[in-house]
Amino acid sequence: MSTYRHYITGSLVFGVSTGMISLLARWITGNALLSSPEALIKYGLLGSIGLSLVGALSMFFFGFISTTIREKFPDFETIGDLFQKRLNNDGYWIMTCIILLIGLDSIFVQAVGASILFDLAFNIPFTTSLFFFFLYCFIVAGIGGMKWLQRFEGFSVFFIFAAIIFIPLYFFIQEGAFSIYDGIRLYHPYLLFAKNQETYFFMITFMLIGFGRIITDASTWQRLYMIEQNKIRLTFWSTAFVLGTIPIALSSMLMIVIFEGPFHEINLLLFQLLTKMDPIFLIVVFFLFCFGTLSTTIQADLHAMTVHFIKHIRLPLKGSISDKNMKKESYIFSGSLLLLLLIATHFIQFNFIDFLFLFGHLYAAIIPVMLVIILSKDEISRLLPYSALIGCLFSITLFPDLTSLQTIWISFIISSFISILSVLLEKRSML
Amino acid sequence: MMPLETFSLYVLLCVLAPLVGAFTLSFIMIFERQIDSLQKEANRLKLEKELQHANYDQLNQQIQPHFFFNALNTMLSLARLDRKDELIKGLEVMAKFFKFKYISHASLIKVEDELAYVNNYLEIQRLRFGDRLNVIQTLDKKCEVALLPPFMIQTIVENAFKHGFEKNVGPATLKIIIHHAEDFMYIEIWNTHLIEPLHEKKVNTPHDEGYGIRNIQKRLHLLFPEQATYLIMKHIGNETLVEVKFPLTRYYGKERLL
Repeated sequence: MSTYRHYITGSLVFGVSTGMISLLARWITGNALLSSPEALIKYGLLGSIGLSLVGALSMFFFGFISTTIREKFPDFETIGDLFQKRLNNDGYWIMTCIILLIGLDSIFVQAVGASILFDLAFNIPFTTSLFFFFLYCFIVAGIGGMKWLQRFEGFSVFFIFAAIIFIPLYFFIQEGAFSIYDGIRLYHPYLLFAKNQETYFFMITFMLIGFGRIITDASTWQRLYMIEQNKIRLTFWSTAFVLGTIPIALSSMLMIVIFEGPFHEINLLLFQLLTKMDPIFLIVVFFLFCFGTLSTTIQADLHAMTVHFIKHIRLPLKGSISDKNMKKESYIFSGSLLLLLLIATHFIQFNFIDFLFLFGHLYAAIIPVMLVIILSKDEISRLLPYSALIGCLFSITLFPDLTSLQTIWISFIISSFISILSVLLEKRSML
Repeated sequence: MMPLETFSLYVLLCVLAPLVGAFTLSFIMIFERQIDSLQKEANRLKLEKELQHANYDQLNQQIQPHFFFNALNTMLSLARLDRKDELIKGLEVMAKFFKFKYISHASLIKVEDELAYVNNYLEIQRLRFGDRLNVIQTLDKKCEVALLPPFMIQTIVENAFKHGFEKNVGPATLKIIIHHAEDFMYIEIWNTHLIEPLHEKKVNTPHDEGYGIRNIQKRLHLLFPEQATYLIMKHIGNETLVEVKFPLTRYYGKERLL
């Protein structure tokens, strides 16, 4: 009978390449499929390049602190272990719930992406296809744990690269760059303008959000503790480099979709490639690319959220649970979560980039809190975890006239201010 | 508005970027194990080298008390003979000798520096032996700036005194010949008295005869593990020859080669 630790880590130790595959499978997400069309349309080609860079840079910056985390807290398995060690009771619960909320947000976006994909790809109600998709995710991540999850990551990354290499190459050779340029100039000339100040602001803000997402991502923390210690930084940096090459390829795929005329629904843009491609080989590759992207992210998130919930919410509430029961409860939690997602995808309609920006307030506000928890050597003030909540809530509610990009920065500034204040107060109380 | 040329470059970037990403990932996947094993091999070699350094330094440290006691005995003899001026001169030379010796911790030193040591030592011995002692030094010009393990010549010379000149009466002629041939340096030290040859299987302790000689052999082996070196002692006529052969290493400004 394997232990719950085995369920969390799969008794795996990652080298650079396996660590990269696992991180890429996690971080090439449905967000890239769903938000990159909006980024392209709103911020032009420069926005697309920016999107590539900010994702990579966020990962790169996390690589800087990854070694510090591992050296300072060598025996952890999850992000919740950090809160357990460093925070007081209420602080622990605040941060644990925030991480759960963030995880649910991420998994929800993937689920919506999957529902769009299956709706377009098959001539059957997407409830059925989505049910089977979730069943597959449940078996792999919910039941199989990290060990099974890791087995499918390689295939996913393979199909991601196959699609982003073959599809643009095929279309640009077939159509020629001039035809596509001509089409874009005719139907979407705004994409070809680079002098857009808001683009730069978007890029910097998106980097803040990206870093906030990575630093609070439970599945990334799990992988951080599975990579060989001396290879952690190299793994994150190499992943950052490879990750930077993907959104830029996606933007070229988008141009293939839009160059022949106007579009109707922005979220569906990338998925419309399915209807645009003739060779069955490319259709299959593209479908597997979308399927791989969405499934590995959902699986990683599902596994991380299940572990987070059972180990850091259920276990402290119950006092003690045997390994066998923890696994049993994990199956129940992951199954229930997927069922809820299946229902939720039928009812909720939203704009992806606005949704990302809404959560962006939380991601931005949590950065200073996480940095203090990780880097500070002193006791953590009780006030610190509240700064994330205060920053996020104040920025959303008190500044209705400002744009989302501006309020995200306000959220970050308020949270940083309170975090610094809490550190100073704690130092003073210790004197 | 972005011109066609820039757009084409952008398209090129879009097509090449994932190829670069895929290549990077494949490269790391294929070569990670090899890089790992190279890293391990490099670490192993580094450790071995560290160990060699430690061994070498230890051997270097062992030679110092060995000479020190011999020199001290020389001074004691002078004191017993009540040769005060010579004793003072001897102590001065010895002070110079030890000063240099304890400042320098290099694995290899220049031949000319080693000979300066030896001459200091010979100065001390000349006090004891007076006219009996005759020293002949021949040094190839090219060997002056060549490198050798510290105290090598001095140890052999010291041995010649201890086991040759001190045990036998009559004239004591010491010849030091340093030359090179085919990338190897040869050091020959002749003395006019017979010294018992070394027995290879003898267990070494600092009190053993020939301890210093074996120390040189070990150091040569550590310094040049994969090259031919030797230290032999043979009798030719009434003379004893100690000959050392090791790779010629020229001085280019680096002190330690290990």
